[in-house]
Amino acid sequence: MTSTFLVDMSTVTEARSLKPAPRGGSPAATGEHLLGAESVAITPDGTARLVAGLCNACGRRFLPPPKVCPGCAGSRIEAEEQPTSGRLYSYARVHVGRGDFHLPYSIGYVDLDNGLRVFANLRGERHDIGERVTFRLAEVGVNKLGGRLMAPTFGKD
Amino acid sequence: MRTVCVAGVGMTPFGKFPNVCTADIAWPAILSAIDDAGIDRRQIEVAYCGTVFGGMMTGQRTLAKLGLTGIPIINIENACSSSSTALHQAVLAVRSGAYDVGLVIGVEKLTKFGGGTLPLEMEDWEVRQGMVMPALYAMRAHRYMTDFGLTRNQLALVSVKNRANGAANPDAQIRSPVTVEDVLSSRPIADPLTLFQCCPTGDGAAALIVCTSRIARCLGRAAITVRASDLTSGRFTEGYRDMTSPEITVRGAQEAYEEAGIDPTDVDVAEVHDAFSIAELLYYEAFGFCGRGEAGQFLESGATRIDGKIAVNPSGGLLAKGHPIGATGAAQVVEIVRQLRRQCGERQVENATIGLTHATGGGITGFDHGACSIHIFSR
Repeated sequence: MTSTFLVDMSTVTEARSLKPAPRGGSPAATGEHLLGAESVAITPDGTARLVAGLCNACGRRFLPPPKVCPGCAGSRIEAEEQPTSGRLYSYARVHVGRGDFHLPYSIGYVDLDNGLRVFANLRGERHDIGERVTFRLAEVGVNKLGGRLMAPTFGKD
Repeated sequence: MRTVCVAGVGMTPFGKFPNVCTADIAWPAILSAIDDAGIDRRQIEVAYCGTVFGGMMTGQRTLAKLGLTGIPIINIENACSSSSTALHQAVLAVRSGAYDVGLVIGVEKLTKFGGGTLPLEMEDWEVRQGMVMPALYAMRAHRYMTDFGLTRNQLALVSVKNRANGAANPDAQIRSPVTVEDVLSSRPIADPLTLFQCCPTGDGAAALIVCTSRIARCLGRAAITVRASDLTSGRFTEGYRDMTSPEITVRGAQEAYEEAGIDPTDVDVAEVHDAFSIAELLYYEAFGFCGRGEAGQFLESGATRIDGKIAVNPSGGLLAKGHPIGATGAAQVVEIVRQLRRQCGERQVENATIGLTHATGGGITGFDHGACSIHIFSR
């Protein structure tokens, strides 16, 4: 199965040795489908990392990496690997939500140590505001054809 | 700039009308407003129609049914602030002298989607990954509970109050009161929010006739003056934002109070955006009705009851009256105008002289909310 790379690396300057994460075919396909792939890259040793776009002109960072900077409208945006842990700002445990996700599911905001706030699915069933959580990809649902839906997640495990 | 008045109001009862199309939901509210104003419908020079899911040219499809065409018709989408935005545009137009009489419509038919949470835009980063409106508010609730010690009981009391108010409102979608126990044991939607802490899915329409103060006086009824008409959008941010203080409403409130030349203690009655129980509590603070962190106690003290210091959501609010999203803004104005005219019977706020409406919405990444429109009225 061929992969579709979502991050347009041609606009990225000084890219570190990160490869964009494959999204995985069309949404209806079997296999794995990565939600939020625009913000995920694979390091040389094969682990997934969160990637934001750092604006070279104003220094603000945005996730997913934008083509133009919402801060200053600059277009020199660099892919920047993000810290893998942060503090849980708040969360919700969703009982009525996206139909192809495993219900109930948890979502929340994680404040990374560099000040970037990340929305993500949360692993686990119990959450405490202020707790430290770490990043990895995990399954959040299954599509109609049995394909796994993967997403960036944070959790304590 | 000229003074603008609301001369006529009308609304349909909110509810579920799966077999009635959007345009057919809307036109009765318009006829009701025209009749209420006592104008000839041919005096309407411009129409602003607020709707989110009504589809292409909802204003024209609706007004064709009444033969009210050939005038400028503007269709407006601003999520839950759609018809408040429509009113804002009508007010600006009449103030400027471009028109003397305008029609504002708000209509929505959410039953076209069946049930479930409001369909959000899948292009949006967070929506794709599972965000839904109840979850956004649940996060606000969890954070507020952690920061200020708010209890689940206090959250439930918002629904208890508004359901009691709705029981006295013939236009409300839900007219049965509930207890704290009923609220807490209703179906979980997004913890800590249960079904009765979420506004229901429904359909409905509301309409307003807006005109110059001179025309309103000629029509011979108590003119309700627009003292402030404010519209703003949330500030997009990628970093920290305090989810217990809705910055868009705080800013909008300050702008509106300044325009009207009043402060929070002058407001007698307010229809605020209680899409979820926690929302009303946050808005007590955002409007300065009470201090930061005090919303739970303020509610418990009875201060926001119909007979309290500042009556909040005497109509039953979104929780009981319902929230057909495009119609809500205009429907809040219907309630406040009726309150200021002293027409509300059992749910009348005594001596209501200054009233406020507030609609805010749009669940999109990086925003507190996408839009917020606040109006202040006086008798």
